[in-house]
Amino acid sequence: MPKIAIDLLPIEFRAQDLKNAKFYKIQTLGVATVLLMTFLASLTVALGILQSQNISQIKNSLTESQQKISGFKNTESSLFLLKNRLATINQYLGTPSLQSEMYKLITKLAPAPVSISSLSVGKSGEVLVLAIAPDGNSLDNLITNLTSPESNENKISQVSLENINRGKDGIYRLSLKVKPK
Amino acid sequence: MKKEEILKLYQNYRLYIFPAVVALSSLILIIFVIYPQIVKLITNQKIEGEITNKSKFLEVKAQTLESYDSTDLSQKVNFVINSYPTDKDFVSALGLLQNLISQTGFKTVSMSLGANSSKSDYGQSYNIKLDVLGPADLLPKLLTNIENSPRLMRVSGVETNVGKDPQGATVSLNVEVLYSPAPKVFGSVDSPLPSLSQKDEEVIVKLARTGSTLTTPQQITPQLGSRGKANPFE
Repeated sequence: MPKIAIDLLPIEFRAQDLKNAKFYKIQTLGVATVLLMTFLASLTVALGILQSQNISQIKNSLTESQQKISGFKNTESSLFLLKNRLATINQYLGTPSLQSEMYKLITKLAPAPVSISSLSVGKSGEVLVLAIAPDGNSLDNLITNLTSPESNENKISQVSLENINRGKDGIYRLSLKVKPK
Repeated sequence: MKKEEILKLYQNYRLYIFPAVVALSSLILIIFVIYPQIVKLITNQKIEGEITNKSKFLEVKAQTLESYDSTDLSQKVNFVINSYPTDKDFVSALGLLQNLISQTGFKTVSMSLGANSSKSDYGQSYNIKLDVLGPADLLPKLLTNIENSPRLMRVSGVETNVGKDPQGATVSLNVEVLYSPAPKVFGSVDSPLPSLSQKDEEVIVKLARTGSTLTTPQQITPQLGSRGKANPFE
């Protein structure tokens, strides 16, 4: 036989119960939120304090290192001076200058029968050569050596024959201007 | 307003008042505590990272500096200063050039100093003009010796005149003798330490090996030849 449930309480009581239940839920949620916020706030503050302590410890060790380095000021200055000088020394020591390179090149390119009576290398590396060639062949060889990129190591950009004359003795006297690359 | 009235009002509107109070207090905590603390934590995290890196760098720098032998270092500095001095060193440069000339088989006719130091392609330098006599075929060797000498020098001009005797060529050389004032700033505590490369070490060894040929003023005096009386007032 089915039971019959009859709610005899007035309808206001029911509404009040529902209202109370809803409020308790909100109350629980609210308290939890406040607790969570308080926990978060405490956590961030605690982390901040720990971090500050850590930073001050690192700062201390930094100051110690700085003091240590200040004690080696002379060594550091010596190293800087050494490096400063070596940069230039490395650049130039043992590296031939353009002038000396041009001089060596021209004397190397002059064939044996050709004798150089005067050779002058200026600041720009331009070379003025006064030479004597006993015959046409050696003169040809000299000009070929000076103008051919294979023999002149690609270091000469221009060769100008300034003056040439052939004496009664058949000897060629010439003056050349050689420009470096 | 009486207490009972407030309580009654709260009872009636507690569904709205309580959440509002919770939201307000949470908001206050967020605005005044949590957010500033998080921002501070992030900023400090960056600062901590920077300081840690700097501290590690300085520790390494201090250890490296500690590892250097100061005597050895000052000896190396002496070698490089002799090679590339901070000021004009006319006497030692002239002496060295004279040694190199005689070692290569040339005779010195004259030596003259350039009017003024100039800022050439090589930085600061002064010019020495040399007139020498000797075999023309040895001139390339002389040029190499000058440019490989422990004192930093560059040949900036060559002029040769060969007469009938090729062993008696007249040679005129312009030599730029390099020097440079010492740097004014030798780094700060935070600046990275320059390290010596293998090449640097090799150059120092080379300078040390050849450095002994650098002529001192006492050595060159007899070579220049004595002129007049030792004491002109006697």
